[in-house]
Amino acid sequence: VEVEVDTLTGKVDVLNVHVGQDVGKVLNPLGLEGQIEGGVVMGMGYALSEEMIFEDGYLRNPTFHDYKVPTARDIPEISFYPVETNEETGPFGAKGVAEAPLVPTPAAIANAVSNILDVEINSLPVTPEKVLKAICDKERDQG
Amino acid sequence: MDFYTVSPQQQQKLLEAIKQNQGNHFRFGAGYTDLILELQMQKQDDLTVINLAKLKDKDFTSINDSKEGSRIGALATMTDVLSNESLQRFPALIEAIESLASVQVRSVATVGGNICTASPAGDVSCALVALDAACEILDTGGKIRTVPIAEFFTGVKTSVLKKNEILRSVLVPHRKTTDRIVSGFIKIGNRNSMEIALVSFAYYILADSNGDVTSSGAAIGSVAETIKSTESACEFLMGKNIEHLTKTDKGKFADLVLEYACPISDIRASAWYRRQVLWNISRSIF
Repeated sequence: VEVEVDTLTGKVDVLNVHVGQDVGKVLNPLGLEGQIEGGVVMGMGYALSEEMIFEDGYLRNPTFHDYKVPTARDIPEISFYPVETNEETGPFGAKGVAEAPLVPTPAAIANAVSNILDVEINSLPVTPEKVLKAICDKERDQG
Repeated sequence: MDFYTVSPQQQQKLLEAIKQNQGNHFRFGAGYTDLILELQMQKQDDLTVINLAKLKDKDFTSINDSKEGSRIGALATMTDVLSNESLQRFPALIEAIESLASVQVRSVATVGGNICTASPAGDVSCALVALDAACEILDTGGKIRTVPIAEFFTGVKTSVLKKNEILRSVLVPHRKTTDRIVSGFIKIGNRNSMEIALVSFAYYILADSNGDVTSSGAAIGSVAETIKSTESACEFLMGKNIEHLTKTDKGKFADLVLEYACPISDIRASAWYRRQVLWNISRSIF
């Protein structure tokens, strides 16, 4: 992934995502692309904003008012490089594809943030507040 | 959710409806983007909603230019403002609307609704405070009183509006034509649309051909009980050259802005974050 970090606010914008994936035998190419893009976007929410916040056992953000999923304006360019194979255990050689892009996306985004800022952020989601805190701490350490 | 409605179509009928309901618990409804959610969360018995969506009164619905400035009717929708040519000279207002909710919500949400909800996070209200707008309030006797918008808000979701009054319009005053305008609206949130501001900052600074500041207004949102006009920071800028502000000047401006902030920590952001970001962005506008 390629990201941009606003060092004044700590906000992370994802600019480009590249997905290479073993997809088994493709039955519906357009459906496949939709599944991959959906997985990436879900991974972005996981990486940047989605969080269930508990206090004293109560969920503090039980609705989509405060549990923030990405909107159309947050979605980056997504490039997809499918690798077609034959999955012997699946129907007609096909396999499930949608969960796979969800899993590595948060790690890729967090690593990209670490890469540009040279700071480690070890918990999800990578909120603007955590990023700004890391930037401020680093500036203070360096005097 | 159960309530009575009354839908006046003329100003006279509206004033009568307000008069008749003085003894009742009533609310105004225009775009309903806030009211319905609120009523869903807190059930209220014997509520009357005075529906303004059917009102066909030009004073309430239109956007006009006059000698004093641009007058925006309280029932003008966000989309109406966006598509009005003469209001494009107020970038802070336009940018505030563009950052508000989504296209769908902007098509029904009204300027008056944003103001009267009196939320400390109101985007359009924040821009209007920076622009030094005036609220024109109509009472049931048909009299108008004018209140500067910075004095309109008295606390979280409370305002100076009395029970027999309704906001008719807001007046954004004209300024002398100047050579430079530094103006905008910065909204900080976790995503790019459908977001409530964690911090917002609106500014409208005018300078002459040399770059000397001749007039300046700025306001902060989501960092105090109400939206606040940052007057001392604006006074500090007067007469200074906008091209040649030093790092110290910018820091001083940001310090003065920050003096108006007393943010809370909640699940969306900590007070530390809100203060730090407000300082960072107010220093970065020049």
